Parts: sequence; C-alpha cells; structure tokens
Amino acid sequence: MAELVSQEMFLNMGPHHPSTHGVLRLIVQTDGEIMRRAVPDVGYLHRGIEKIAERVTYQGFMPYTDRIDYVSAFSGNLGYALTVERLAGIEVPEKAEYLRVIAAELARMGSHFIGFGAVLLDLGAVTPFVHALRERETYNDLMEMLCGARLTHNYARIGGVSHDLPEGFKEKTLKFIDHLEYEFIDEFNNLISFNSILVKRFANVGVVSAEKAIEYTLVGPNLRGSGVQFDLRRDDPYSIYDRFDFEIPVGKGKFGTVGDCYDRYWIRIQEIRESCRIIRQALEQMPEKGEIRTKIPKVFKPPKGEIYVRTECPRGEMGFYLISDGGKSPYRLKIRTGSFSAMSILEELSQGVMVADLVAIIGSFDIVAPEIDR
Amino acid sequence: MNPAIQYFKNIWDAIYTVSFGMIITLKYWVKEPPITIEYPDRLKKGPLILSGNSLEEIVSDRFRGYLTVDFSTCIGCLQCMITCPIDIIAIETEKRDDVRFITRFDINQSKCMYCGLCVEVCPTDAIVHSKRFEGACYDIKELCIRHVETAVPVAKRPSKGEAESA
Ligand code: SF4
Ligand code: SF4
Repeated sequence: MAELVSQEMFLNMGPHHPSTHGVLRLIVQTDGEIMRRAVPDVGYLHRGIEKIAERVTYQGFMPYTDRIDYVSAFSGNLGYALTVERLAGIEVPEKAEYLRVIAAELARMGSHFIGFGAVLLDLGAVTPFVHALRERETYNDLMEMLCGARLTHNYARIGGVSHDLPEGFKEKTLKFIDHLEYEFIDEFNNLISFNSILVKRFANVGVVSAEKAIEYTLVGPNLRGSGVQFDLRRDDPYSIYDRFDFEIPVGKGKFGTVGDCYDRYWIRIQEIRESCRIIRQALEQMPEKGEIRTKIPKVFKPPKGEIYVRTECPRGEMGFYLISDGGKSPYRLKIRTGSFSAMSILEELSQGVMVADLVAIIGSFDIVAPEIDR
Repeated sequence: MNPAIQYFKNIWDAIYTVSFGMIITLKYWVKEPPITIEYPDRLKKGPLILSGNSLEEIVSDRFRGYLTVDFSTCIGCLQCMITCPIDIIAIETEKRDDVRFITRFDINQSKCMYCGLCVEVCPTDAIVHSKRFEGACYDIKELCIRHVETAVPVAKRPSKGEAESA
C-alpha cells in the first residue's frame, strides 16, 4: 500500500486579512496546522511619505506625520516637530511643552485601547474590544475639543502647538483618567485579562527572550515585555518628561515565561495607568497663562545640517533622521518606526507554532500596517 | 498534581473566571444605559438630544469641517493657496480699473485633509472651518466647491493696528 505523503503548503495570509491590522501580507508555510515559517511581505501600504517630505515645506509636512501611525497621530506630530526644532534651535514655550505631553500621553492611551482591544478581537473576544473602544471614543472627543479633529489631529506645530486648552478640557480629562484608573482598568482585567481561556491562549506563546529582543531591535512595549527596562521618556528624555514621576512597567512573566504574548499585552494595560499619572501631574504643574507657540517665519528655512531625534511612541521608538540643505523643504527625511522593527522577529517566532497562535503573536506586537511602510 | 485533579481544576478555573466576565457583561446589559446611537435616524432620541435641528451641534467648537470663505474680509492675498500642502485651493484674481477682483475661488473638498494650515495663515480670518461634516453626494465633482460665481472685489487690507487686535 502506498504511503500517504504529507506536503508542506504555501499560503497567503493577507493582504486583506482582518487580523493583520491593515494591509500586511504574510507568506505562510504550513504543515497541517503547524506553521513552518511565516515571512512578512512588507510594501502594500507604501505611500511615499518620505518622498513627499522632499516636496512640501517644513510646516506643510506636519499633516503627513499624522498618517505615519494614524492610531496615535499626535506621536508622529511630536517627533517631527522636535526634530525640526532641534535642528533650527527653536525654543518651545513652557506651556506648549505641557500641552504636548498631555496630548502625547492621551495618544498613548488611545493607541493602547486599540492595541489590546484589537488583539482580543482577533482571538475571538468581541466584547472587550467594544469596552476598549468606548474609552477610545472619550479620547477622540477630548482630542476633538482640543484641536478639532478626531483622528488626524495635526496638533503640534514647529515651535509649539496649534491651540490652547479649551474651556472644560481639564475637568473632562481629570474625570476621564479617574474613570480609567479607578474603574475601567480593574473592570477590564476582571472582564478579560484574568480569564483563564485568554491566559491559555497568551501565556508561553511567542516567547522572546531579552537577548533576542535586543538582537532583533524590538522597541517600546515589545522590548519591555521581554523584561528590558528601557524607555526613552526616562533614558533619553525629550520635551519635559524628566519632570514627571512615573514607572516603567516591564514583563515579569505574570502567567508564564518572561517575554510571552501575555507580558506584552499586560505591559500595555499597565502603561495606561502610568500615562494617567503623567497627565495628572502635567495638568497640575501646567502654568495657567503663557505663550503656546514661538513665532517662526512663514518661509521657514532651517540651517544646513543633519539630525536624528527619537521619541517614545505607543509602538516604540519613532525616529526622524532629517538632512537639511538650507532650503524650504527637507533634503531627505528618513522615518524609523516601531512596527517595522517588530516585523523582523516574526519569521523566527512563527516556526513551529499553530496557525491560530500566529494571530496572537502578530496582535501582541500591536502592529499598525501603515507604520510599517510609511 | 494528579492529572485528573488538574483536569477538573482547569474546568473550574475556566468557569470561575468566565463568570467574572459574565457578571460585568450582565451589569452593562441590565443596568447601564446604552451609549451608542444609531446614526442618523435615532440622533434625536438618543442620549445626545439636539436642542435645535442641526447636526452640527454634536461636534465641538473647534471642529474642522468644510471650509467657508467670507468675501467681505478676504483680501485676496493667496496665502491660503500657497500654504496648502496638497494644492487644493485655486484662486484667480483680476485687475479691472484699479480694483482687484477675485474671479475664482475653488476649494476641492474631496481632497482636503482638513489640516487647518490654510485657516491659520489667513491674515483676516476670512477662510474658516465650518462645522459641516456630512459630505456624501452622488457626483464627486459636486465636492469641488466654487465659492465665487461672479467676480467679487477684494476687501481692503486691514491696517496694522486692526490686524493685531483681530
Ligand atoms: S485644510 Fe489643509 S488640505 Fe484643506 S485646504 Fe486647508 S491647507 Fe489645504
Ligand atoms: S482667504 Fe485669507 S489667506 Fe486666502 S486669499 Fe483670502 S485673505 Fe488671503
């Protein structure tokens, strides 16, 4: 009798797959349910943002930075504004710095809501996603009050921010972070985080050791999930982050091994608490009155030179490398993002896992497809 | 641990933790009022009851919606056109007997990204965002809005003092 031969099969996961968080294609080599390899194929969302930067003015590029990572649009704004300011030596008024920190931390929370909400949705838990989205809605409302847009905020400007705090914003924000700290997080944990089905899906899956995380240049929460305590807000402070007191949560292997999917998920939940702390301090310390924007000339030409500035975004380190030739627009702008770094480790992590686990692994890295490609 | 005990412990764990979640779900189902509204039919009945009849009340004051131009203050300086990163404002001016007229002021709302840069540079606040946000229409050309039908004269440039107080 002839033996049944088993054959390995190549499959496409994506580009249009609900759990790839955008348009990301994975070439998957499977042997039954076991994954042999999954190779990410990057490039379906390339919009040429870096090239556009060479054609528009320095101020005119600001709205495009919203679209690098649209889930937390302000983080891109902030990184770009800081880059140009450092190159041109522009001082930012005190009040604007506080407004920036508040907006950046709100953006971090808003992004994490989607981050851990969407991974749960990928695993089949629909209810927690709706709970997370409810909080995201409040964040959207707050940002709309602050700058007028709900998704692509375009709030930072070179030399400051575009609007001052609106009336009632402070009270609404305080209420929101109170609600998060004392109600939402605990409730959400009871709802899903400690659920033993979720723990079984997450714990000991996709383990990244600390050495490997550094080797593959993971950044942000993905790196901290592996137990490496590194956060640019503390280790290379930009803006005024050195004035706040906050902790940096790291993965400790809560239900399994250090650096598994659960740790990366758990880090994001804890970071919401820390963001709440920073916002509370910033709202307290912020001066009541003051300039919010340094005037820069309409035809703005920074001096010749080059600079690299990195900021801590919700998805990790976002770096802007800017070369200026003294003209009206950048000579070259290179953007480095956190999701792209997370792509490199996927091939190794996916060896030998189940197909369903791959979804958990991708989700736990909190990937946003437009950020991979720019 | 004995595998049999482990087996039953796993089942117990699952039931125990899931019931925690179920209690929360039940609480929201029974106690909490719904926070979603069915747009647009139920807007008037939902938690967001509008006082007037316009939908625009549900957005905040700074909302960046459709652009409108006030020709009683527009001085035809073309700043907005130059600033727009994607060149969607088209203005043409013409000089007739020493008076400048704006003969064309088109804004292509279908391409606009509502960034607000044009509003910021306008020296007289002539171009502003309205709160209008519902833009669905059957022909995309309708979204290229011509603000000038017949040529309008440009407004007088405000003097320095006025501009600063404004
Ligand atoms: S809002 Fe932005 S995209 Fe729209 S017209 Fe003004 S500058 Fe151009
Ligand atoms: S709308 Fe404002 S910026 Fe545009 S041409 Fe008129 S005055 Fe100048």
